[in-house]
Amino acid sequence: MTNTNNPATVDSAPRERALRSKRSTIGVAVLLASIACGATYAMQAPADPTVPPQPDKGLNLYSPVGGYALMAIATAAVIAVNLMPAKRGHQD
Amino acid sequence: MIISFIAIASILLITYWWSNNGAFSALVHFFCVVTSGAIAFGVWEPLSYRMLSSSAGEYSKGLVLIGVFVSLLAVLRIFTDRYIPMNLSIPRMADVVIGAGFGLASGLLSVGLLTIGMGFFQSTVTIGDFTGWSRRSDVANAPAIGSDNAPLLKIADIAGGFFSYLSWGPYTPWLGGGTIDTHMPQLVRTAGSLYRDSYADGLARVSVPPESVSQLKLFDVPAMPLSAGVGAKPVASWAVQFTIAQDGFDGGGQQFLMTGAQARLIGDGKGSKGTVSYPVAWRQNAKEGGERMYFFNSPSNVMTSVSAQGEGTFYVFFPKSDLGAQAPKYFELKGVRFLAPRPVAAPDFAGGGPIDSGTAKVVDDGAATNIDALIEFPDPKYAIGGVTINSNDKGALLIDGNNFIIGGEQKFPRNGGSNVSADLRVRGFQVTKGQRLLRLDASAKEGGVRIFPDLNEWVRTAGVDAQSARVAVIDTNGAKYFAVGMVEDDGDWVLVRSMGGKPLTLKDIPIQPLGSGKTLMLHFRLPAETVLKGLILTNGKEDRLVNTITVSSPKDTN
Repeated sequence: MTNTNNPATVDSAPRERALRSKRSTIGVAVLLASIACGATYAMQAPADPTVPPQPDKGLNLYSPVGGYALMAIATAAVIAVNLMPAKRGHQD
Repeated sequence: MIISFIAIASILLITYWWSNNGAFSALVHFFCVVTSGAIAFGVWEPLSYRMLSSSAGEYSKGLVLIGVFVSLLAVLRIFTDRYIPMNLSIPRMADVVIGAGFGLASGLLSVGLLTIGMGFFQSTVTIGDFTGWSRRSDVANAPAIGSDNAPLLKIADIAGGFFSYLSWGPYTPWLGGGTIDTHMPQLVRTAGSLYRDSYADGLARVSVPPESVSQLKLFDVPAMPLSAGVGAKPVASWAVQFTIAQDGFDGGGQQFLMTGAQARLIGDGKGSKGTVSYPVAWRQNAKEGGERMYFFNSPSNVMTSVSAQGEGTFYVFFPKSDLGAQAPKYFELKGVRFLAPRPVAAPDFAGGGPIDSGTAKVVDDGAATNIDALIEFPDPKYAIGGVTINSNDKGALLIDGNNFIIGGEQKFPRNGGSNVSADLRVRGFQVTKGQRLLRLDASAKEGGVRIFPDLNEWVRTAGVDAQSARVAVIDTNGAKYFAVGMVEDDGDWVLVRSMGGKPLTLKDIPIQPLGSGKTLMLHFRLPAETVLKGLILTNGKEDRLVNTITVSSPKDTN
């Protein structure tokens, strides 16, 4: 006697039936989901009236570099003018 | 905290400096700081308003405030050092302590004024780690403005409060005709950083040329819902109507953009301080046609003119309760203050019907001819015609990153540089997605466009009025699309002129004698699939229909 398992003989017909039924269930589910998505999209299609017109894409905006540069210059100028030494000098 | 730390360190440095220079010198310096600051605030607006229409307009308020302060302080210091040369002899400890006191006061006022001035430079809302007051997503109700309570605001508050106090007394600004508290209430909130709180985190415009704003009206609006929520409580409000022309637009005349932080209504200042109201809602043309109400309940809601239209009319709503018992006196738009007109009864804002904004009416002189045959809609990528321009040889033309023309003018030899590679080739006048370029053959010839004296009696006789008239095409809804550029070809040379955001007027067009053989092409930017009605000359009071058009702009295929 060999120590090997003989492959069992199985009747495949009920399994195929079950598989077919599962496939059709999935198909129906996908179909229903598609319909639901489509319906939802259709309901959302009109623009939300509270959303205002949006700025165009590619609008030429400012670079902040000019502002930063002016701020740096202004800071240096204000501090420098506050640190102008008095000609009277200190008294130590 | 880093920006606040730098400010505090600067104040401590100034304190140390003047404690070391002695009490008397520190006192003299303090008086120089106070005088310079007060005069800077006094002449601030009269000077900066004159610069708003220049190329420095976005920086004018900051430049004038800080520039006048620094210049005056330097002059006063040189003057006092020369004419008050002697020192006071007091005990060393008193000299250091009193000197430090006046140094600290000078430092606080100087750094505070610097903070206020820097708030009026066009820049990002957040600088380093400092934001201050801005529109915030964690503030639920419109206009959704809140603060991060940065320490720098306290320093600015001290300086702002001090100069506001002075502006009531002997330092009253003689040019402004009022005080800081009546003309520029909540100065520190504005400077840090509501003034800079424009679209795209501050990268849009923060000012407008005053002459670009017209049709100002103030309406007394009965209670109506001013928020998007279902069953919103009705609120009584003041509504301000204004029309903004293309030279006040963002992106070189592309669109007008305004956030809820960039407009406010200021009370009459009875009781010492003007009260302030920020807008909670607005009404404007919708892209789909008609007018609609929109709400500033989210930082992402930005007032935006309809794409490509050359002007926009808006109604901005301010809750009455914000002004308390005060009547509205000023309407401030992007830092520019306008005297509020006398209030009138409001039209039916709650209804969806159109409102007569009082803008110019179309006048047909009866001689308008059809010019459909003179119109084409070229591929906007290469739509100059007559010349191929290398972006390395563009002269005074200004181009954007995609080689579209956005400003300037230059003459080129006809058909010169035709072997320019696609990457280097200057494209036509700038259009964005969803827009088309309309090219109109406006050469002076019989049966052509009636914008020349030889072809239109009004242009011949109206003088300056006609020369200042802007050239636009209008659609069937009356929306105007101004000419953004022109190309004149005399056979040898091609002149390319972009208006850089300012609408083209008749005086911008070189003289075109009949039969000269020159060709003149006007370029207009308009939305795809727009049904056109005609070509007009508009002077703000009336729109004169000079030619009729029955074509529509095609779909945007780009």
